[in-house]
Amino acid sequence: MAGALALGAVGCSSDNNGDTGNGGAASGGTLNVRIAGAMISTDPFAEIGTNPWMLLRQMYEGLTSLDNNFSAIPMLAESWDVSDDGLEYTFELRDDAVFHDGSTMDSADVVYSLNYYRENATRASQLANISDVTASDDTTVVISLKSPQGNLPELLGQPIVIAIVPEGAADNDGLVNDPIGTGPFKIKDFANENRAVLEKFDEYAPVDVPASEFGGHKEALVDEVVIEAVQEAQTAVAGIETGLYDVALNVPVQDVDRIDGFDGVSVQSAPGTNIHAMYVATASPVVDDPEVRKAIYTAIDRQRLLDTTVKGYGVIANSYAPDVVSWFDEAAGNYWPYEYSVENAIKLREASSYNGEPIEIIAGAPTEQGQNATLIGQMLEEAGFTIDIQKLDHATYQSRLNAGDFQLASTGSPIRTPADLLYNEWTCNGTPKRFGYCNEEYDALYAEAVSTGDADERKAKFAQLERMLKDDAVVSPWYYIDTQWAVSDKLEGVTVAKSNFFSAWNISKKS
Amino acid sequence: MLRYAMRRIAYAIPTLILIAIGVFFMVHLLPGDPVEALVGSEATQEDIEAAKERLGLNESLAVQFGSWVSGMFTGDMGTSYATGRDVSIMIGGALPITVTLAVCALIVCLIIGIPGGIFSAMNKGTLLDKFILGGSLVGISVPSFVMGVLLMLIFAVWLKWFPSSGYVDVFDDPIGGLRALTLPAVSLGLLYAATMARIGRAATLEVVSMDYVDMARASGIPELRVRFRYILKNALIPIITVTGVTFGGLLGGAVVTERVFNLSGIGTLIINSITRRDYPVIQAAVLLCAVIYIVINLLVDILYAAIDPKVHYGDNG
Repeated sequence: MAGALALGAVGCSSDNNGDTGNGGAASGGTLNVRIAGAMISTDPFAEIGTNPWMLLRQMYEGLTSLDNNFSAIPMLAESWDVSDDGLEYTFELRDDAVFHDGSTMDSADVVYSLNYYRENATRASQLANISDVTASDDTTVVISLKSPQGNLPELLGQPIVIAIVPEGAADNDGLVNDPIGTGPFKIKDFANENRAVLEKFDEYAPVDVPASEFGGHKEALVDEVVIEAVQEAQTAVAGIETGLYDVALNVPVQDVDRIDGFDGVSVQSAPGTNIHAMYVATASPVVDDPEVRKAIYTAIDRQRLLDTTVKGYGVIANSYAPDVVSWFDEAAGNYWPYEYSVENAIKLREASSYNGEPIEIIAGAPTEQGQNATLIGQMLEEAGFTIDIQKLDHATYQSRLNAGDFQLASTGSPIRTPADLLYNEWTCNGTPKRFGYCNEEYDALYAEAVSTGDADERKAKFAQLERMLKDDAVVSPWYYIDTQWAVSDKLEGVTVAKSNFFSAWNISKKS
Repeated sequence: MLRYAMRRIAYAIPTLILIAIGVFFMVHLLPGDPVEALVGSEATQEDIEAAKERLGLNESLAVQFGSWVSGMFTGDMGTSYATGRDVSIMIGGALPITVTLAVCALIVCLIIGIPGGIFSAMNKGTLLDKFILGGSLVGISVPSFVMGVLLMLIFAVWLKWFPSSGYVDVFDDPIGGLRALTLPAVSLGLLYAATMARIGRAATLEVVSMDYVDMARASGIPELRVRFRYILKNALIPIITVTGVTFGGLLGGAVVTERVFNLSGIGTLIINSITRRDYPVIQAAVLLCAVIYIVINLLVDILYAAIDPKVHYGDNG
């Protein structure tokens, strides 16, 4: 099994900023961006949340990135090759990538970064299959695996990047106070977690790969980027109206029309990959019966959830995998055997082991989660279930999720990619406490899917996993939310990202 | 006076120890785990255990408490679980914002509240008195976040006189900083101005009814001098006491205003830290607020004694 991906030999997407992926002319000026939550820290190994990565992705890059179909493209590595047995990946590095401290990236930095991630990162388990990382020469890195992993390039380039930093930079929490990456912007000021100022990195060398929402060709066309976290929705709307922000992410759905009417501002949208769904703890009492779960799913009117909670700005989801990913299988992905019907839900409930026990739905801090939980509760009560809704703060919700101390949970999450990460959650060793699902047949099929280097074969196996989860009534996806940004008319080059990850590169600002 | 001050400081130490113990155990009793809030819902069990090890959360509560307290004695407030930064740096960045906001709000409070209360008392029973009383009732009744949103709508969105949110350092850009703080300071200060007006009115009315005021007038002392030297000076004594307490309240009550106007002050820091169960930050910030409150109260008592010659802090003071 061998494959090589050369620089430039990548398919284009219609969402690119131009066919060649070049940005426009540099405009200078300051780009003001509003995000919805705190950026917390500049350490890419510690942070795993969406909001911190709104900042970090402007500064850090990985060996690979993703195109708009979520397939791997070159970034700091210009090409890679995999051995016939699938146990060794050889990455050829670029020789022109420069860190923000002026040093040139080489293999020692990559070895350091990947090993640091494996030992210290918050999500170190993602690289658990790596047995060793070595440098053959200054521009060649070899990653040895314990078992074959066809999606390794996609894993290294996922939206929350496995960042490459200078050797030693992360020691003693060095990146917390002195972040050094290779991105088109570098930190200028980060006095508190709610406001960051970035400045253009003049030595940044763009790659000759079409731009995508995650990477590819990047150019810093503005001199400065100010990212401000504004948690209060109406404060953000006031800021949009008064021109404080050039781009505001996460536009409140109830204000879309109003904001679209502001002078000099328009709301731009794209079909999103953020999903609202329901987690089911299949080992918990009452819902451990698949027939009870099938009755619950049949009682849920997902269109009503979509129309009520997000005012229809989205599409029904039949899978945790959105249809834009290259590994989405039409048949399995669109397969959903639990069409809404109160009548059928009642019949299924009566035929199940359910005896009127209260079923608890938990929801976390975001307003939409709570609203969905309330609506689901009403729907399930219409089908004859007794429901108890608990709205919890973030930390309590997370703890109960991770401990599997729940029955149903209203949730929202960004895309999990590559497929390895998504489907791993239902393996016996994935997050076993949370879902309580442990199926040897599923695990065996998962291992086959992950290890194959053939993309079509991998896709087919993940499709089988998809069907298995649905037939066993283990997953309950509801809808994907449209990504909506308020964008100033002064900007050029803004492409609304399906993933909602904002990129400050390739955007210019008219004075 | 010095002995009194030293005694007050000595009494403060066991108070602070009790607060430290209380806040430490209260945050640890909260449901929810800081590690799981940190690692998120897709973390594996290995990720969770590794994070607990890294943050020292595998240690017993007694060991964790001992580490924290011993660090505080050496000025080490610890490291934030969430940000990885020194807690002292985080608080050092947030506290000036809240203090600046509180000072500006206090100025609004005093400028509106004291003259309002005094004029109301001096014109008791008149339309002016009724207007000021009514206005103070409205000020007390309207929550500060409602006032904040209204002020933002009128003065930032419609009139565009002030920015709608955000903070500018007054030492870097005095004009920009004061413009940015105007709306939050007014929305926060008006609430306390209403209370101050009522207290000022009551204090003034009490002094006006005193015999020495009638005596001063009867002696032929000019009315202006009577008002300033005999009435105002004595009415200010309880107002000063309330001012100190008000400043402490402004520091703590600014959290809602900080949220509305997106100011990264100590209130925002504490709220975010509670959400994340960032124990070192919560503990240090709460303890610091307690220290500030104790110091303010001590200074107010000392000032009180300096102004009122009848007040003497002896051995029993």
